[in-house]
Amino acid sequence: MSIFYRRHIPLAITFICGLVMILQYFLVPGKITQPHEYAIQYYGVTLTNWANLLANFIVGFGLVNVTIIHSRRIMRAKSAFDRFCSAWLLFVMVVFLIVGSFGHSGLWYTPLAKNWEWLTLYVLNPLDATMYASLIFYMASGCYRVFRARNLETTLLLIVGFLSLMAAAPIFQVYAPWSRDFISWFANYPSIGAYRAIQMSAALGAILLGIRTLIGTETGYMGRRD
Amino acid sequence: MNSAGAILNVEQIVAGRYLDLALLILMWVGAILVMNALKRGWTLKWRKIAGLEALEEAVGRAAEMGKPVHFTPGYAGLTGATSPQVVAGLAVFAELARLCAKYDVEIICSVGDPTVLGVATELYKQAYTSEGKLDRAKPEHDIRYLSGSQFAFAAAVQGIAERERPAANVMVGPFWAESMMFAETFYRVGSIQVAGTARIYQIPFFAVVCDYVIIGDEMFAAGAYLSKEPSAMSSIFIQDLAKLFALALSIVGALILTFTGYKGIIDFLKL
Repeated sequence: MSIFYRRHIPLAITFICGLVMILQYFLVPGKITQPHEYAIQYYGVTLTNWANLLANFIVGFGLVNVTIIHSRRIMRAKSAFDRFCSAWLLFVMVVFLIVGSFGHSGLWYTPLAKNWEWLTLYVLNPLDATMYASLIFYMASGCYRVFRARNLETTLLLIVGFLSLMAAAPIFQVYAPWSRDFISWFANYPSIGAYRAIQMSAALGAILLGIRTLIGTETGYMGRRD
Repeated sequence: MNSAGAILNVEQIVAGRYLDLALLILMWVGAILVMNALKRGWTLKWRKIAGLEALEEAVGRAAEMGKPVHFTPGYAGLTGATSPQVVAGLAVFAELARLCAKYDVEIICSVGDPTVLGVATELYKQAYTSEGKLDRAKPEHDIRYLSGSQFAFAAAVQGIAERERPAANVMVGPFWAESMMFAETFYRVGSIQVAGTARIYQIPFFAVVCDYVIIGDEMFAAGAYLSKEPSAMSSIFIQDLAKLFALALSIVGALILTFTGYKGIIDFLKL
């Protein structure tokens, strides 16, 4: 495939689509009154719909990828447990696919709505909640390793971390109320200042990434230049 | 040109977005001017981004240990508000895949959104092609779509960490609660870790657990930084200038507001 098809055409499409979205942001107000606003809005919404359609269509590729990987594992895995896990994953995936296709509330034909509700309520939600709850152990082990006074920075982190714990514990709120005030001040001023600096620089970085993408110099997502 | 014949009138711009447009045009024009200046021979000194410089070290470690490298851009896709972070992550993946192809190291890419799957597969193939090793590429094995659900994705990545025990783990993209799970799990299996995100509340987690952290704007500069092309690097210069301008505006605004109570800068920003 020539470089024209592989790079120039995608870059041209990116530029045109990006420009339409920029025009939509700057020229289309909340209440549309002018013909040019209707036109730009129409193209912007059409492009967004295309992107959403493509994104949903590509879900099929994900399905194929998972099926290929786990089918191979069933055939080649040395351990029977690994084979069982992959087979179970494929089985559950098929069950969710069928029940979801005929039970999801967003669809028009939902004879399996009750089954979908049951799967969501008694399988998906508890599993999600369990994973989320396990986060506390990761945070605890991270804190244990980090809160050691090895140098100036880690010592400061240790002090502020300890004061944060003090501020959250009822016993310190009663007997050392100053700790809460100190941490509130720390969180509301120096900490927010640092956050805003990072946020601002990240926003500028994202804008420049957009500009690079539009003028065709950011090609990392398309691989290296030939 | 009269108003009827003008392509764009100022009145046509949505109120409250004048300054946004002016800054966008300024940065755009500035990037093009600097790009041309760099092409004509103007030189600039670039500071090194430790996290991006560490990619080669990570792959080298994996080559010595005979273990794979793991990469994930998170479970976000290419169509949401966090897509610039995913694009930045994919630029890092392109370089990482090239290094892995060069040193014959297996790379595992965990993907949580199908829109990223196709792009990651293509980047992987291009990386192996550029190193002349396309016959060794196994995209259907190395690029893995795991799940679009946050905690299912997190569980799957943790499973890969425990089973494959990668020598290095690179995470660049948007991350939410799963950031700490990944960082801790890969730490436990002994991986050297490079992490980057612009998600403000996850940066501290990465900063305390990972070996190298790519913070905020450094991540967005990754594609340009790794390409080393003057045309792309020019925008990093403009990015730094814009940061200095924002910093100056913040300091001047804070001083004026504190000492005089005048809110002119706030009104200016609302233009």
